[in-house]
Amino acid sequence: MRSFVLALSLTALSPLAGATPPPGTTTAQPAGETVIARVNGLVCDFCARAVDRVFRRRAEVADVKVDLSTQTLTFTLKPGARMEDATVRTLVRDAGYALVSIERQPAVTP
Amino acid sequence: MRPTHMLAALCAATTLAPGLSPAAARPVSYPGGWTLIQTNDGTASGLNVHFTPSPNYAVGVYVERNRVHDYDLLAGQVNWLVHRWNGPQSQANLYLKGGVGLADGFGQNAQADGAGAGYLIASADWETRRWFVMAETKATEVDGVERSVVHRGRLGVAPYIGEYGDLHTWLMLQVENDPAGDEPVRTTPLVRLFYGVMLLEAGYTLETDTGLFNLIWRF
Repeated sequence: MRSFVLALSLTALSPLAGATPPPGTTTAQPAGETVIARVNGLVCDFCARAVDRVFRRRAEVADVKVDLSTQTLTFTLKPGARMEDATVRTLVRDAGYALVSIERQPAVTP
Repeated sequence: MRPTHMLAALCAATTLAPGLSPAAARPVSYPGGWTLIQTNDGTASGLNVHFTPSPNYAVGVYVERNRVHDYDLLAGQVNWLVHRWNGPQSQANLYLKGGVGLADGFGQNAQADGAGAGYLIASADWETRRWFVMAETKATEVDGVERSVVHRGRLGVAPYIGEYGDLHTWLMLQVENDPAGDEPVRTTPLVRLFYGVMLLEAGYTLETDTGLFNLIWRF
């Protein structure tokens, strides 16, 4: 009976075991550069929709996050895409805000 | 039925309560953005649809049914962001809004047919995530029907600080001064809610026993 339960458990866990990568490998999906823009004036959720929309509709942008607490706009570029600081500044201004600083995190490659 | 009457009737019919409050959040959106603003209070119902071609101004159409002076208005409107101050934890704005158009009277002003109309609004606001202050003055001239200047102020507080994507709630007090009106001072406590691209305000004017209902949709 014990061996039956053990076999059943191993069978049930086998998909998980198969999904676990061997040691030393990574499952990271390819992702472009992450840009963290600190923005002044970001105090209103309803108004901040503008900055979300302005960046999200850019072809080189994969994802956008707005954080009112830290006054930051974080967006991830598509793999291989690039957006210059001047463009970020212009887009932030178009959305109605003032760019304070830009921090970049390198792209993730599998 | 004249086009202005039809549009104003449509505007009034799409509301839960009848009037006009131009205290709209964000009269200028982002470039390429559209905004629909539906306002109602004890005096009028208004509908403003505007398009923002640049970060500094928006152009649109404004339709109003004014129940105090009995006319329907159809106007082209321009909203100009004169200046914006973006601070680390605050934002302040100075706007000028203006419109010109035609008004058709009904009721006591039924003789006014295609009367020239114009209005100018100067508005300033300051807000943090907790506090909101707004002051506004509107001057209106409708040929042979209305000449008025109305002042409006708002003070708001957010009972909790919501994060991006949350339902946000503001409790506000609006005070209006309409020197020529039947009630020169009107006080309206209201609740402002916004979620995503929708903003809704509901309130009640104490002196006139009338409701306030405003809706803004950005797309």
